[in-house]
Amino acid sequence: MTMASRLPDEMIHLKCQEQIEKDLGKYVQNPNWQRNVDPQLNVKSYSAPSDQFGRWVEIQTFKDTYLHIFELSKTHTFQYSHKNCKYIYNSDMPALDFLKKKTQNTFTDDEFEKIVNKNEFSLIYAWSPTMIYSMSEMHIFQQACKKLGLKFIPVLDYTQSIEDAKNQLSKYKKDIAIRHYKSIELEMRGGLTHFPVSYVVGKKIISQKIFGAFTSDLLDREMKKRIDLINLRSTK
Amino acid sequence: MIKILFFVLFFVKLTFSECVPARQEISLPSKMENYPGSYFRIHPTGNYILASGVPINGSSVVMIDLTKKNKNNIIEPKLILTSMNNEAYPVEGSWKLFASPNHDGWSEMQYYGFNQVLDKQKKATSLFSDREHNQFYHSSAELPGSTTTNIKFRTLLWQKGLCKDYELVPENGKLVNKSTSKQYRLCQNLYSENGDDFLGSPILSKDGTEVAARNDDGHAVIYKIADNGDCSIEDDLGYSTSKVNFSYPKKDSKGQIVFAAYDPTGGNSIHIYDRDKKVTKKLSQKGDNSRGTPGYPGMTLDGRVVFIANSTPRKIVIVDPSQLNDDGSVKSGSADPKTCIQIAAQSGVNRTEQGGIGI
Repeated sequence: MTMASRLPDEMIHLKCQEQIEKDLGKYVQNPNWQRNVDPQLNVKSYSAPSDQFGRWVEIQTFKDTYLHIFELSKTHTFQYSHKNCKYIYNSDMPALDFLKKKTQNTFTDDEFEKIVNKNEFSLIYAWSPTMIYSMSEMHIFQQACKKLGLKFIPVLDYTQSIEDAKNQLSKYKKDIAIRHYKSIELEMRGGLTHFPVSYVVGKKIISQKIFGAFTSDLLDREMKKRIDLINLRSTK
Repeated sequence: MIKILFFVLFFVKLTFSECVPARQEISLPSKMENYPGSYFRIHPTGNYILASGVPINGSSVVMIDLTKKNKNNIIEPKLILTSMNNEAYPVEGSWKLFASPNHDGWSEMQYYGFNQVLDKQKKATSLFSDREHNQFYHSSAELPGSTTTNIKFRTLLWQKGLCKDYELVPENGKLVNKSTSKQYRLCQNLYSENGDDFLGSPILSKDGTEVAARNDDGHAVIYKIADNGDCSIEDDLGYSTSKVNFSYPKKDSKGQIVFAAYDPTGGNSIHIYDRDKKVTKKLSQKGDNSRGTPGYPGMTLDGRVVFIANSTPRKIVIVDPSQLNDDGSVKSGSADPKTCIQIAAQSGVNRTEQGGIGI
């Protein structure tokens, strides 16, 4: 019986596949790959959460032959390169840029993990003062959370200043805690090129993202869909 | 063919042999520095930028005029205040109109004339409105066959994928909609297979005949729109992007799209995707921090790409993709005239042609 490949479908014919599979196995058993934009011409990139919360893995191929594996965590980014079917430790790059930014009272992966592991559902709501609907429509998300029994947890795009956020938010009369997020799990899920982006979390599962603002009827439906899916997956 | 001629005729150019700069950086108007802004939309000439979410002197939507230069020949951006609301959006194509959703009470989508906004600024009033078809996250584009006196366009709303086509003609000093189009669901033929909200944050192409959206897997997908509103997949990028912006129609080419996207070790960057060659190239540089605000780069008629860098201070960046390396850096040496975009002396393109009622 052959073991299912840990590689994305597009990469299963890479040279040295056996070794690659073995090395990936150190991080993740059944990766749920998402493709990223090509970092360079002819370079393909996929990333997936590892088996450890707050640590992700990225694979890059160049013209389907050369390959890097990156291990991304809050403390470091390890890069391994492939040579003669062996991975060699290449470099220990600093942790992702956004993690270096000094801010207080941030939403971290430690806190995120505790929230995800609860049996109760929460909604992580990422917003930005650059996107007006993420502020003006926030109340619809708050109302939906109240109705469906979720805890509403707003987190601010770390690239925006607290001052900008306060100034912009004051126009919409919103009274929320303004906290930057510093979370690999949020960052790597992508989608943060737009705000709001939100996730239903609980029972050790993070839902697919809810992208953008919605009218209340559609938002209720989107949130319920994700709650039902988490309930289904958590009982398996 | 007709749609290509339409765009060409609108923007007659005299070209010189000089190339545009590979990368140009322009300061934002000083009053905008404190406002990160929201959506930035780029005029076909690159001479104007529509910016929403900028609360200055009672306006929430402003235009940035890039046509003025100081004595040192440096562009001095000027602010034009408007009376438009929320995330007003140009009717893409020739920018004759803007579509401004009225958020308070969801009352009506108001359409303003480009020239009128330039001339009257905050005192400009809407030329036409639609109470039925009004929602945020909209996209509008002129359709093939549109003329200066017979403006054909469609407006697409994200939620439920509702679309409506218009044909505006001047009548007794007003624009009157002569189209019999009702609201319809775009890509209705794909709903049963994909669910009824599979068109995520859709954006129409410059001639309204294609739409780019995120599918349920989060991928950016481009659909061709048939005359009956049905859709078929043209391109699936396989990854998630910001809202995209299409290039202008060109003969024998599917053209390009530009967007912001995230790669883990590179961060958020601006990219161009060549739909014929199926390759992606980075256009921004590391310090541009193209997150949030500049997630909405735009393309000009001559192929330049304009975006807002979230650097300190924020700035407008204009690049010629043909003069950039694959990592966004500028190619060394002087630009090859065969590949660079040539400077055009543009006649009458700063204003759209008059439609008979001063739009």
